[in-house]
Formats: sequence, C-alpha cells, structure tokens
Amino acid sequence: MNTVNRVSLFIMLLSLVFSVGIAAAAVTGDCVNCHTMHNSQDGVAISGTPEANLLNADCVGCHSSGTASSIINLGTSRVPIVFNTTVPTAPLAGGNFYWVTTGDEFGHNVLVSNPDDNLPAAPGGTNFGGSGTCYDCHGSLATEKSGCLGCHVPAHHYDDGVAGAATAGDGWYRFLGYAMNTLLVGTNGEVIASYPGVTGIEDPDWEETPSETAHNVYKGTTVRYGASSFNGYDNNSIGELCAGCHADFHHDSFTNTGLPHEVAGGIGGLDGNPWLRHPSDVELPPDGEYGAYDTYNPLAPVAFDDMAVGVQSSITAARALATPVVTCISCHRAHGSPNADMLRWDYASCTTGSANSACGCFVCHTGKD
Amino acid sequence: MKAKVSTVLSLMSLLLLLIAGNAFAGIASGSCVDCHTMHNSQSGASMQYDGSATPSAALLRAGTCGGCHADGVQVNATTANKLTNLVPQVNPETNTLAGGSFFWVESGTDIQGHSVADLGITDTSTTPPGFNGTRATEAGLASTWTGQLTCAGAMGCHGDHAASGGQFGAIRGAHHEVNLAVTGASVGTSYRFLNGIVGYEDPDYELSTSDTDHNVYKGVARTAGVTDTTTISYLCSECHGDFHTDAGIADGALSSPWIRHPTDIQMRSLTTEAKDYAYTVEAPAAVASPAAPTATTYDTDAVVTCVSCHRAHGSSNDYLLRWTYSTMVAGTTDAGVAGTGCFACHLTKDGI
Repeated sequence: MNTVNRVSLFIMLLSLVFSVGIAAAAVTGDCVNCHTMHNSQDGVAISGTPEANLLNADCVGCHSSGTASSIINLGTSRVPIVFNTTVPTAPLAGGNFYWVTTGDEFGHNVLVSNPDDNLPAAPGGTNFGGSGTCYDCHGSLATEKSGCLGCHVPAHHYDDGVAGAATAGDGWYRFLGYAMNTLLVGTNGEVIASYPGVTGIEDPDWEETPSETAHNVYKGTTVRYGASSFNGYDNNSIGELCAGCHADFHHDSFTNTGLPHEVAGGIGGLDGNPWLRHPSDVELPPDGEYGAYDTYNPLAPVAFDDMAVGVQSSITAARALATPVVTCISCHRAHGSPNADMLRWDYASCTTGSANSACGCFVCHTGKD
Repeated sequence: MKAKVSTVLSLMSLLLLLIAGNAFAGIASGSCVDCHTMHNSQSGASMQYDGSATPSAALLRAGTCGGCHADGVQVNATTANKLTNLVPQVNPETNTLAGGSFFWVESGTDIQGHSVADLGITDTSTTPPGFNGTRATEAGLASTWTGQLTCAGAMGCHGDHAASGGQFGAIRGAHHEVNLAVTGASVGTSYRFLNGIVGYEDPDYELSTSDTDHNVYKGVARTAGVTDTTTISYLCSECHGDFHTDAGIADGALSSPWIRHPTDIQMRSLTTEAKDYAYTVEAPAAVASPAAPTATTYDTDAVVTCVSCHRAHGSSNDYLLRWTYSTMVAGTTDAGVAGTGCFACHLTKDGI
C-alpha cells in the first residue's frame, strides 16, 4: 500500500484561469494564470525551480486538487483535475490517480517516486533490457523520461479552429500525440519521421457527467496493426496508444519482426482461431449478444472507426456512419479507478446468470447475465 | 525630489544639436548659466533651482539628477522632432518618454517603477529580483546588494559604477560629450549614459513615435557561454542576472523550452510563431547594429530583449510592463488586445 505522503509533495493548489472549452479548443484565459516570465514575484519564486515553458507548475501541480472536485472552475475558465488528494466526487473520463495512492493495481504509476511494487514492466510488454533503453518510456511510466509525458504531448495552445474530432492541429485528442515524434529529429533538426496521434471527439466537461448523449467519442480501428511493422500504428486509435506499452494485448503484436520485444500470441482470433486475449480494436459484432448493445453506455463505451459518427446515443443508428469497435478503454480507465486493474467496474461484481447493471461486462455480453 | 524652480524657463533656451547616429544625451550648445553657477550667488541669493542655500557638485544649479530631470515643472514637449524644453523629464504622468516614468512609483505603487532614492521613493524590498552576485561583480557592482537603487553610480543604472564622487562622479563629463558616435567607450558615448551600452538614441526620447521614429536598442543573437556586454539586456542583467544568464533562462541548451522568458535571443532564427514578429513601438525588438530606424531595420534581425516588455524607469502597469499583463488573455479577439503586447511576438496565442 503506497502512502499519500509520497505524492503529497507534488500537490499544489493553484488558482488558475485555464480553460479547454468546446472540444478541440485551445486554452483561453489570462496568461498570468499559467505562466511566470521570470519565476519571481515580490522577490519570491513562483515554483521551487523554474519550470519549462515558463509555467507556474508542472503537470501535477496544475492538474491536481486538494478538494474532491474534478474540474476547477474560476469564472468561465476550467481546468481538469486528474489527481485528487481525496476521493473525487465525479472523476473524469480518464479516471483519477487518487486511487494509485491506495494501491498500485488501481492506476498507472506515473511518479518517479512511486513505481509499481509488483510489476517490473508494463503488462503485455517487455522490459527492453531495463533502464537506459526503450524501457524508460515503453516499459514504465515511473521514470524521468516518462510520467505524464509518456502518454501525453502537451499542446495547450493548439487550435486549428475546426470543430469536431481533435486532430493534429488541436494537439490531438486529449493531447495524446505521438510522443516519439520529438525524438525522430536528426542532428540538424530535420524531421526523420512523424507519426500521427490519437483522434477523437472531446466531451466538453471531460465526462464529469456522462450520459448516452454526452460523452467522449473514441477512435477505434478494425485494421490489424503491429504485425510486421513496429511503426505501423497509424490509424489514430486510442488502442494503438495503449499498445505502445501493452503490445501483447493487441492484434498481432510484433510477431516475425525479430526485434528484442517480439512476443508471441497477441489477441489471436485470426482465421477462425479462438481469441487468445480480449479483443481490442475489433468490431463489436452487430449480431448475437453484442447486437443487443444498443444504447451507448458510458460504463462500457465503444469506439468508432470513423469520427464522422459524432456523439451518438444509439449504437445501432451509429452503425450507418461508422463501425463500433471494442477498445482498451471500453473496460479500463487510463489514469486510475477504484477498481483493481484500473477497470471501469468491479470485476468481482460480474456473476454470470445474475443481472447487474454495475457490471460492465454485461453491457456487451448481454447474453451472459 | 520635487524642485521649486524659479528660473526654469531659462532652460528652454538650451539647444540640442540633433545629429542622427550620435549621442543626443549630451548638451551640444546653450547658455552655461542654465545649468551652472560659479559661486551659487546672484544678487545675494542662491542659484539653486530648489532654492536651497547649499551649492551643488560640479557647480550645478541642482544637487540631484531629479533637480533637472524631475523638477515637477518642465514638461516633455516637442517641436520639429526635438524636445522644446530639451531636458528630458523622467517622472511626468503624461508625455512620457521611452524609458517610461517614475510618476507611478513616486505615487506609492512600488511595483510600477524602479524605486530610486533620488526621487524620494522608499521601497520595503531591497535586493533586485533575480540578483546574481556573479553577474553583478562582473559588471562592477557589489556581489551583494545593500542600500537602495539610485539614478547613477555604484547603486545606479547610469554612469560608471566604479567612479568616485558619487552619482555626479559617475557621469562626470558625459553631458558635454556631444556629436560623437555611440560606441560605449565612455559614459558620454554610451546609449543614454548607460556605461558601455550601445544603441540608437531617438532625438526626442520617443516623445513622438512611429514605426520609423523610435530608439533602436542593441540586442544580439547570443550563443551559449558568450556574453555581449553592450546590449541593453546586459545592462538590466547587472542587477537582474538570473533573468538573463544562460543558466537563468534555459535548462541546458539555449533554446526552448525556456525556464524564464528569453532575452538576447534572435527571433528570426526560430521556427515558431515569434519568427514572424513585425516591429511595434509597444513591443520593440533589438538589433545587433543599431542605427536610425527604417522600414527594413528588423527584416532579418529582431532580438527579444528586456525592454521589449518593460519600461526601465516605470510605467502605469505593474512590473514596469509596457502593457497591462492582465489584459493578455489567450484566445482573445478583442480589437484592442489581440495582436498587441505579448501577442506581438506570440502571434498564435491570441484569437486572430
């Protein structure tokens, strides 16, 4: 059990006027609420050590709170909170790191001071040979090079002015850009390669109050990726982001590449063979028990392979515009949850033959309750 | 210090010889009596402008810088691109000059100006923000800050820090070094008597301005480990070193992500928004070789510097800023805000 004290040092309550408004909009608000030009105010430093980009605080410093609120409101400006030091009343779509303080199994360990006590590397991945290798980003988020930046590529001022799904001009969905792009630069600053990030439609209040008509729209894909190319993840799906560390839980996961991280198995399901692992980035079939999943349920959301689908409350109706896809976050919360394995519900509450609306498994597996 | 000027009108007879590219702070011609008194006695009365009986150093008719430059009577006015009164006043509320005005800090708002003791300003804070003892000693200042800021001298901005004779000693002879190129070789041939600093001096101290009528400050596209001591930012760094040194503004390489706002960094070399900066008097850039401004002065050379954002003496804005920081709202489309202030360089951060 990890103590709160190890993380309390990183908590700062700031009065920020900081807003990410309508989906895919850049931040608005007074510059002074996030930035300090010289890290000096009345002879006192704003931050203990100056932060990059002249910020008042680091990621945790701005996106944490000592209250139970998940959105700090100051007038019309808002900042999403992903780390509360007390139980959040209404955690946001990504979940909350609060629960990581109660146990490693409840969330991603993103603090160098708090690595996972049980898992030497990301499940479904490899340790790549340990510290000093790809492990520093792909093996663990509790490293100096990783942390929040292991998944997010901050782009708070990006806004391409186009409504709808967040794309490159918006800094990608929830700033889930391709983190390695900053490394794929040559000695003369030339771009060696550039890969796309995750797209999606951002709920304006980060799903603080989700419903079938008010929710994120996640991007999924039915294209099988990862089979022969380490960098074949170019379908903008949120599942591909997860696969960066949890490769073995996705598609064909580097078989036949000969690379050190080659693992066998993936999810199977090819050519009529049974699934070896729960499908992700796989179509939710329109028939059978899955066809009965009609009304969108934020407890077990589906992704779609085309963002033209928009925010839909009926999955049946949505099929006319896009293919619904089961994805990683159909079942998991990316930051953390009160449930083991970062699940969106308590797995122990799922008893076949016993209907339970709190069991997300039965949202898709409608014939199992 | 407010001055009770009895014969200030005589100062209006002074003439400054306005020659582009040369130092304008010097007094090229004019009646000696307007500034000097041989015995501080005329018809049995003192010749001091403030009426005091005590004679002043250098046979002057004022014992402090403010005695002439903040006398509370003269106003900055201009005819034909030169000041009518010809002695730049540094503390008016209106008709302020490039360096700004001490008016607001004199009125009691400490964060709106430099608190110079000469003007009777008191300030509870002492050490300048960002003071770096190493940079200070390199510049001839003490390694630790004691006392209060003055106009000139060991604790001031103008003149030679190391000169004897107090503030007047620090600027000794400068006012009479005229018609000389601004080279920084002496106090009188330095930009605005800022010893060692180079720049182009607008003839009326920017009382009137346009895109081709203004000071031109010196800034350089610095490289790591190399310090140019002739830039205006270097002058500021003598007291605010942490806000300017390589290690003070960057964590590692001298490039983004900065940890403090960059100064003496070439914007034209950037790949991001500021590379497209267009000159504004409100947010002026600097250049490596200052000269009388033209429409192309900043085409290929635009260096961000301290005075791009701040007024050296003071302003009506907190932190001596050239604009009101609290109006700088990311994403704004307000006509009077978008494209101004911070957004002169941060071109993509407003809403237009």
